Amino acid sequence: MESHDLALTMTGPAPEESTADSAQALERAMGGDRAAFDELLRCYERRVLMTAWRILGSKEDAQDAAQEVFLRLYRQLQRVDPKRPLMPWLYRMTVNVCHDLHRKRRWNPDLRVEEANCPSTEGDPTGEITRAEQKQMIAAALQTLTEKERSAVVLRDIEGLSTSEVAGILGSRETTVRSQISSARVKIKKFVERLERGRS
Amino acid sequence: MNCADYERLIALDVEGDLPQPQGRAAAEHLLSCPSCQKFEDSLKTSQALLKELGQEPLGEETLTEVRRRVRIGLAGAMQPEGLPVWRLALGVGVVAALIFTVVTLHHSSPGVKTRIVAERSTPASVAPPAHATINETPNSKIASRSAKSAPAARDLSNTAGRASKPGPISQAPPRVRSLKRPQGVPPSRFPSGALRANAEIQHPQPLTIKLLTDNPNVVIYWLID
Repeated sequence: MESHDLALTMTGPAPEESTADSAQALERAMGGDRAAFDELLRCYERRVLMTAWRILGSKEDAQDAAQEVFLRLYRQLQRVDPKRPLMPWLYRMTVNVCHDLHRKRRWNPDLRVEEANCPSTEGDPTGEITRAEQKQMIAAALQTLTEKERSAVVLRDIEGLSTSEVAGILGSRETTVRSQISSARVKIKKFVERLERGRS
Repeated sequence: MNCADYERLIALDVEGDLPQPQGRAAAEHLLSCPSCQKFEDSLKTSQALLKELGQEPLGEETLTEVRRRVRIGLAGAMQPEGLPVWRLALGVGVVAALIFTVVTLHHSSPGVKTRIVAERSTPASVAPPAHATINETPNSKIASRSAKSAPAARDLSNTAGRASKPGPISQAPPRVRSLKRPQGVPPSRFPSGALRANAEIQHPQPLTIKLLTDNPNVVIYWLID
């Protein structure tokens, strides 16, 4: 496995707080300032929670994962380099925690996709698929992917990171990540088409 | 390359993830393949939906709940890593469990004959190892077994004088013996064990406590620095 420097320039959505502010908050938190840790929590919670939600497919599970990520951050504060951006570290931790949760709960994604997430046409005589239903289908399709494909496509397409940043976070080669992303996109498209054909 | 191969390339090209030479090949194929054009259009739609998933509102109550849980976790006696409190507790627990096991084995089961032997392992060139029997049962079988399982605890006259010969195993329980001056060392330079005591002070050896039971497979060692 190729090692990557996680101190990458993030091209994705800007964090709620500037990098300089969060670096200062991180340094103060490392010195035991609980209020500074609270600042970090507020700064990064949305992105951690969103990533976990899309990887796990459920808000409740995502809350558990986000909680664990921030508790691990607190426990490992002394190991974090304040000169580097914190978000890649948090993404990596989020992916790891989600994989741990996934294994612990012996998830059955097929069950979730078929029974929980897919929109129902009952009560809609036209059978027309709304935008919200389409998004629900995409979210369901995400759960049919392998863990690695899902993590890669969530970081690349939902979080908007570059392929090299995703490779750095997942500890994989860029070519591997590209292969996972390509496979995931094709699977998602085909899954949604199947659902739409089934409805019509 | 067939259309299935191009689909994988198009899936990357649609977001600009394809390196240039392959990107050109995919673009050329798209110009001449209506099926792949349809695939690309459909893929663009699903990609747009996928990106919209990231913009969905999480809800303030969801974020508040995470904050609340994290704060509870932090308040629950969380300590940053590096403090050795748990290690200390673990060490104390292990020692207590060991003492409990030894005491229980020794006192609670009269059928189990045990013997505790304490010794210090010292290199033979410096001085013979001191050997003291702390507790002993008058059972010759156990004594002979202990002699087999712990050769260092045998009568030291065997090891000092004729170490190369295997010699018969003593049936008598090991006895406490006085220190002997090594051969060739003048008495004036070896004043009745003072040299050895001095050597031990300078280079203290770990004390080994063996708990011998009447089960030949069970010997408990306890090393004390």
